[in-house]
Amino acid sequence: MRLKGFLLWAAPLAFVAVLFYWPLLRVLNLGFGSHFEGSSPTEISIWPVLWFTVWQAIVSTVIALALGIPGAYVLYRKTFRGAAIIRSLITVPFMLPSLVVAIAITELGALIGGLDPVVAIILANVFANYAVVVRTVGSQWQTLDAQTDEEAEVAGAGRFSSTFRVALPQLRSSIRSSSAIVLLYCASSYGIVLSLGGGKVNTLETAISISVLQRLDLQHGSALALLQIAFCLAAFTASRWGGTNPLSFEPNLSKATRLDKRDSPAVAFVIISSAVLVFLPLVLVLAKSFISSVGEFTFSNFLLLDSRGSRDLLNITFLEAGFNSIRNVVIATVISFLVGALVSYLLAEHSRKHVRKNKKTDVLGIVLDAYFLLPIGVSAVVIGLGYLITLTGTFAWLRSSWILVPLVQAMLAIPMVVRVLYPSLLAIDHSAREQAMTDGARKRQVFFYIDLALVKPVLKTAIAFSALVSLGEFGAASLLAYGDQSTIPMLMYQLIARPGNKNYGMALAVATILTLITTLVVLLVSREPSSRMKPVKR
Amino acid sequence: MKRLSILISAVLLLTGCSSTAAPKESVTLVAHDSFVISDELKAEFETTTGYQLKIVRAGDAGSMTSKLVLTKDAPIADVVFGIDNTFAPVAKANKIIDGELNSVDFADVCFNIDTEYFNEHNLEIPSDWRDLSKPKYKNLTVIENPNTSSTGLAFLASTYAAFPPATAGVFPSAVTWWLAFRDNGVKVAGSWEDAYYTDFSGSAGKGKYPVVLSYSSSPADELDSKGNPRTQAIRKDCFRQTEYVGVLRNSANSTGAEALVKFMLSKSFQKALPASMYVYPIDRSVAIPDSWLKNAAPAESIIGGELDIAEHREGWLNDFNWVFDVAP
Repeated sequence: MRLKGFLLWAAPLAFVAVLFYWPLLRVLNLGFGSHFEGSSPTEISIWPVLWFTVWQAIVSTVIALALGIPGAYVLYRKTFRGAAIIRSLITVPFMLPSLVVAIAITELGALIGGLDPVVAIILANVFANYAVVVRTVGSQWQTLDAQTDEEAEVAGAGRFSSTFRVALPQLRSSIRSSSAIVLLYCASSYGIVLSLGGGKVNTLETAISISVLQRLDLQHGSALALLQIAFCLAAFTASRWGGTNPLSFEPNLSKATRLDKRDSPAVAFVIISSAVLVFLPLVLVLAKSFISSVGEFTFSNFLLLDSRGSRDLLNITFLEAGFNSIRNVVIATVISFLVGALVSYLLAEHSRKHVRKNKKTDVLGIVLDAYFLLPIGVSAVVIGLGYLITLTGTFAWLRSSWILVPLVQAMLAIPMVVRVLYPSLLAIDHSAREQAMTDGARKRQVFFYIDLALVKPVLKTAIAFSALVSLGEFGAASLLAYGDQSTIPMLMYQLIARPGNKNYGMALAVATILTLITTLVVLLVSREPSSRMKPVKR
Repeated sequence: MKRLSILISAVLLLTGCSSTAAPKESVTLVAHDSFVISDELKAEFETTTGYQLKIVRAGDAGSMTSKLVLTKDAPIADVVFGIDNTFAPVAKANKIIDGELNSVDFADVCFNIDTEYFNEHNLEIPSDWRDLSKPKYKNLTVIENPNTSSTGLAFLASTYAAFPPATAGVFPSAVTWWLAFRDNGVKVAGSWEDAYYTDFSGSAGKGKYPVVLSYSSSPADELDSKGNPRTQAIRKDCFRQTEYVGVLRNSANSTGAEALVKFMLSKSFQKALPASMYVYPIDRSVAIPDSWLKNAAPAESIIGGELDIAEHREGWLNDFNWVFDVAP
């Protein structure tokens, strides 16, 4: 049993070790161990970059909390017609490729005559992460007992003050964990800063790219990468402090009450903020893609997708890139789902054992969880360079092979699968499992007939999420996919980096297609029949 | 379970089919993102030499050079195209090239003028870019940030050749000119594409700035419906960017690599350069298009050829950043 458990762990651990930790160590080693002729040491201090990375992330997170907490109240604590569809739609920006987010915010800014790059970056962060706060805080809020609120109100507290004094303290753990996740995403986003920052502002992620690729200053780049890792680990530890909070798609609204008049300020606030910040940018992208440069309705932007842009700028057409992307998505999703599901299962097993032993903090569990999460917090440029340096000799063929991109994307999607599956596995009712065990069921039987059956609705969420991560991934692909292996986000970046009506029109058309795909996927996985109630099919 | 196994076998099939194609001997070219070769030329190379040509695009010239230095023990290609005179010293110092770098093409970094704007506003078209710091050209010019753009870096370098060198304890006169240029309302864009296609009024973006730092060849692409140019270049004292091709050290196929280098210096490849990449062929015996001779001739005079760019790049960038107070 021991050996088997070890072997089960070994596979996913080795997968991430080979694809992430080994190349990462090679880059850091080279960075601190050598000097290159003609490299121009970056004179600009690390601190301004770190400071900007941290403050823009904190400001974005605070705004996301300020907008998201009332959103969680209205959408998860209250019931009304249309709440379900709003709950689903606000998730769309979170799952959109970062370059589509950038285009959406650019369009929003165009309404008021353009945005300052810093403001645009913060707006994009809030746009993309609003749903994280709403969903995470909402999931905890819906489990709170309504009685305390009512008692407070009977005692004379207004709705606003009862919410603030009574509910917020109880929501501490979900607020903390959603803040940490939002902070992490805001601090490590590459595509958003690259396309909205216009080369004028830099975060750790883009500064690494400049110091390594433009200035050949690997030492500076490695130092920045270490800082990024430290930041990522700090945010992760903070998120785990109060236990895990699932990115849930299965609202349990049994304690929700109907909206009443005294909720109207909150409702108005949520409607206005989500309409302006979440829905308007999406609608603008959809609308603009059908409007020609002279203001008429047209499909021409979509018809251009079989071309290579003006001046044959692109190496391949969008249709060809679409094939590459779909192929990568299929492979990355299968791998990340299999590995991620295994990791979630093993982590859940581990923490059940741990609970049984009644120890306080599960250090090993947190370390294992962090081990799989770290890849999303580390610069794609560093990972990409790691492959260029590491894959030599026998593995040189892999370096220029198309299979590398889906493998990396699989690794980047594993944390998403784990975030969705692991908390759901933990939440499985213990008694059913124990009963089965007592009745003589084997471990494998418990897994297939109880665990798997109970988390089935979450599985499709995990699959959908990892597919969307792979579809939108830009940083690693831009370093590793060459020429005719370009993916859709890479082509989009080439187009939006070279303005001109025809090129931008094509980028808008692709943004529209990606937005529609994402919306469809999100709606499909978040249909809300209470599937847990149905008899389990065998 | 059955569905899963079908999915897995489909994936195996998908991964399997691409690795089975037995390749004939191939030669790999690494180039910057702006490299273009027509299908006909590619086929010509493959039929005359018998090698299959693979192309890897590795970012702009700067990041491509960095990647090649970092992977020099096991290079990602056999031949590199697109290292220019700004980055050639880096390539040489790190010994990534086997033998010599051969010049393939050149382009002259010159300011371009939106002639329509200048005519409408009765402005005299400057004959020397040094005049762009004069008050009558206030708020008219957009340039590229030399920290992120090789075009911007080329121009920055040439200003140090255009003015007398610094004497001890005194500002370099180039910096004095940059301060005046800054105060005259110059805009600094992140990339050539941004400056030319978004900010410049004479091209597709119809921006606000009628003067842009670009190339002497750019006007060839800005003709009105009658075929007359809408823009023109200031062709005095421009900086000449030369692009090279070379065989990478430790190349897996050095014979094929030599053949590719020879091909890029051949008449048929050289002849295609103006149309494909907006550069002038290095081989002067190759005819260039008439419209180029008329609207997009090379610079009348060039400066900065003798500068040691690798040596001074950092100092110049620091001067620039001090003048504009921008973080790279």
